[in-house]
Amino acid sequence: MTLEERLNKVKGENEILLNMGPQHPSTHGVIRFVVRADGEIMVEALPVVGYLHRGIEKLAEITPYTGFIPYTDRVDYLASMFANHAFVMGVERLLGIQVPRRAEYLRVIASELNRIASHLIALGSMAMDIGAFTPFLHGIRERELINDITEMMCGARLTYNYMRIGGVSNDIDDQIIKKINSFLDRFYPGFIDEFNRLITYNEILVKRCVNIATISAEEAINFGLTGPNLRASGIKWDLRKNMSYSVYPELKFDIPVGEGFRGSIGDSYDRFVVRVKEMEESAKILRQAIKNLPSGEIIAKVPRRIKPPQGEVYSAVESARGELGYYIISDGSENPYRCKIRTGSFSAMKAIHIKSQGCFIADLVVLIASMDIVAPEIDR
Amino acid sequence: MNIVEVHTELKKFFGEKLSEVEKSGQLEFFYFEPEIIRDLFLVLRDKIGMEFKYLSYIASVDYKDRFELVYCLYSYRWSSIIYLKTKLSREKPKIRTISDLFVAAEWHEREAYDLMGIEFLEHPDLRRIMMPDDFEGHPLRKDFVEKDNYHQIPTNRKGMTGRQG
Amino acid sequence: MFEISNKILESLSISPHYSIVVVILVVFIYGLFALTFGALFAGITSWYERRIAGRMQSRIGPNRVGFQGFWQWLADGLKCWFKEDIIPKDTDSILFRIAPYLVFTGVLCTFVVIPFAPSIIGADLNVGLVYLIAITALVVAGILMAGWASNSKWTLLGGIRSAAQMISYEIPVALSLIVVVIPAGTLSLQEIIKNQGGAPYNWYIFHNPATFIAFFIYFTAALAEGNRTPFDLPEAESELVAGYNTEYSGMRFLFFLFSEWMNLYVIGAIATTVFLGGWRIPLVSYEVQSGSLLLQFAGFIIFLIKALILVNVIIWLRWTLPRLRIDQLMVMCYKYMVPISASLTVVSLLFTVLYHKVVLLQIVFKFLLFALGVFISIYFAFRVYYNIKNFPDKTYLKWMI
Repeated sequence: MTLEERLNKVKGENEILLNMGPQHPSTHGVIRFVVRADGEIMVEALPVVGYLHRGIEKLAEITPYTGFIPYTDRVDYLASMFANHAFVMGVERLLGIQVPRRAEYLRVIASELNRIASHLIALGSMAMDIGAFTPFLHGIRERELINDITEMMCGARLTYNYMRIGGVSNDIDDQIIKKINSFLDRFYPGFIDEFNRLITYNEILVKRCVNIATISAEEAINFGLTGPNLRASGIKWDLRKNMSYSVYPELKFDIPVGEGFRGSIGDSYDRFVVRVKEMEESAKILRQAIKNLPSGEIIAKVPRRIKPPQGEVYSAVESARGELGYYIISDGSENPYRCKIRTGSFSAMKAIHIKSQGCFIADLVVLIASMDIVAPEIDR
Repeated sequence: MNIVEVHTELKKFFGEKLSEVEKSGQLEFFYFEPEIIRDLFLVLRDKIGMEFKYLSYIASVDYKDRFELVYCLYSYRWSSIIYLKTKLSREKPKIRTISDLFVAAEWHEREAYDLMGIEFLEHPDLRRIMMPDDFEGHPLRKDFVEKDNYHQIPTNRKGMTGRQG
Repeated sequence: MFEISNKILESLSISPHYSIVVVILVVFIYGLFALTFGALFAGITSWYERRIAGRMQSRIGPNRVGFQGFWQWLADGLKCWFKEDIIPKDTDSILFRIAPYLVFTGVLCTFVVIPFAPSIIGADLNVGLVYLIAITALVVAGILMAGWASNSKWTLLGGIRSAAQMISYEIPVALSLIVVVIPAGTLSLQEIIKNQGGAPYNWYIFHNPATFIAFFIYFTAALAEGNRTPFDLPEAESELVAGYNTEYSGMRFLFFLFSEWMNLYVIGAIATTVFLGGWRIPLVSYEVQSGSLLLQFAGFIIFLIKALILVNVIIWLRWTLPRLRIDQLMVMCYKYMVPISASLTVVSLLFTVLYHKVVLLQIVFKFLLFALGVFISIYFAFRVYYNIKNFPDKTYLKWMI
């Protein structure tokens, strides 16, 4: 069955077919929606993905384990630390390597910085899709500072390639710690407070988001939503807490959940606010991690040629877009036999398809943005 | 509620249709026969005391002599995660869909259909998802050979006819 | 204009035989003046708006062409002028070509009745306000035409949205202007200005509570009528790509933007004329001002400053607020603005009658409302100060303070 057949099968009278994307200002990246609309009201928005399919899973089968880490950056270019982290964690589990504590802390610091950067883009672009341009650029401005820090940490601003099997690539020094501290001082509560006054409490944004595409807890689980989207529906589930990895058990933080801040639980506004609150929690984690940062090695003793024993592993981290996991099958050779990547946006797209039915076209934009989907994560 | 407890519980319902719990590397899992898939997942999802309501992913693996599907389920109630596997024939891989039980499964099954060529019966919308509609072959299979041309677009150096590769 | 041409005729003692030539000449010159003024204003505002947006968003904005990038608008205009005028194949090409000019004409025609100074006005029509409301309908026709003729679904949606929005919001605009027409007793814009005092507390905005509210309703509704944020749904770029002007390019595209920026001035000028005392100079009577050329020029400047302050507010709103949804927009119009402005006309009527009976009441209300206005301004300044004080990084503020 092709797309045309699928569309012809269900096409009703008085419907217009709108082609939204792959080049459209509000489909973040190259995602295409075929919108069947009756006037301004949509009958359905059918997602058509695959425009950014690079076959990373196939590439994994012909790439050695160490050589695959740069590819994982491209799984999610807005939050590539998590993709790095999940992969190296899986390989370490296969090999049975104990990662030094300093390296684990550095991973947490890098990940949480990346989470803030990713959420800033998500919130900013949501505000921009609703029509406010300024919050986006304010978010970009703060993200630049994070990019500066990561550039000092690992030499890259977007695709970091920071994690190594057994540790991390570079240590951080006092200068970087000073920079992170000065960033945190201005970021929380200063910047978040200003950001909230500028856009979060803006009555027009609230009106646009409240009760739009409400996803109940039951639905959210069934759709396979994870991360902030799931938590916005009121479920307190966070892999950092519930299936803890790295050094997260040693750090104190809350899991913000959607409480129906202005409307019902699980609406677009909840997803927005949950992300804002998660940035606050990330800032708290960062402050603790920097305070507790132990000294020592940053990378464990790892064999030169990495050949994990035969076996399988699934390692997942709580990425900015939910559960990001690698299911790796090793057959004892240098390359993975199979590497399946499970990402948060992939499930969210299906939820968009279901929740778009009966919305306004303008609400579709809010829905896409509030789910915080990124094209490379869907297509991989 | 770890995998062993789930397995003993399920044994009461399905008996010989389930294999014993195996361990490979870090992963503990058991195999089930493809024909009981819907009942199995219905029990897993809805039975009080299990409540594996969240399907994380469906991974398809090509073992050259057979296909395997790996289902990963979470139970938020018990904070536990289980993996189930099933074997499919290499020639005509077919299995019933579970997208009526888990909405999340729909796209994962489409992905398996597209990239691995596994057919899901009674699937509501079984189309290619990553590759174009007119693409031939299933790229994630181990014996997949990429064609030299796709709509006159060379895909490798050999396919570049008339030009210096 | 006819006054001026009559004066010229008298002073030059040309025979009445040729008077028609002089009239046409004067009208032509004034038309040129209005066009130049509008074009200059639109161009400079485009640069100014981008600079302001840059400041608000912690970036720089255009600063390359000339001093602080001042000639950017000219460079952009030239660029658009030399661009290819693409007319897509399946468009209704005649309508497609006409549409931008209709929009442009619709906005430009309002300059006929907008006063600049006591004797600089195109035509002091005795139905000036009605003319103003009527002529803007051309804009709707133009935009709808552009949306339809482009033969694209996105533009069609944009055009229909725009038509619905502009026609709806003309009602609150008209009604809120009528609130002032009642105490003023005239529809002529010059007469309305003449009837206001020069000092701020004599402006019609402070005349009675109804006019005070009517000012804000007019301002909001005019924003919506001019398709500015937060009501810029027709060109909502995140939803409709670019709305009705998606398929346009080159100079035709520029004409849409031209009319949008010119419309900014029109909004500001009408609000200034009707509510904010127009070209009146405080403590100078009308007779003195219209007699002296220097004072007329001062009036022109004052009028411009008032209008520009309002334009500034519009720009500033645009870069702060998100946009409404189409149904919320319509709800706001028909459920709130139309009933409120309609009832305000009655309130205004009551106050006008009351003021005739009790003169003291007028003075009391005038100063009370003036105090309220001052209080709002001070509170606003305080909020700005608070936000600047609480921002952690002062380096981004060095341009703003």
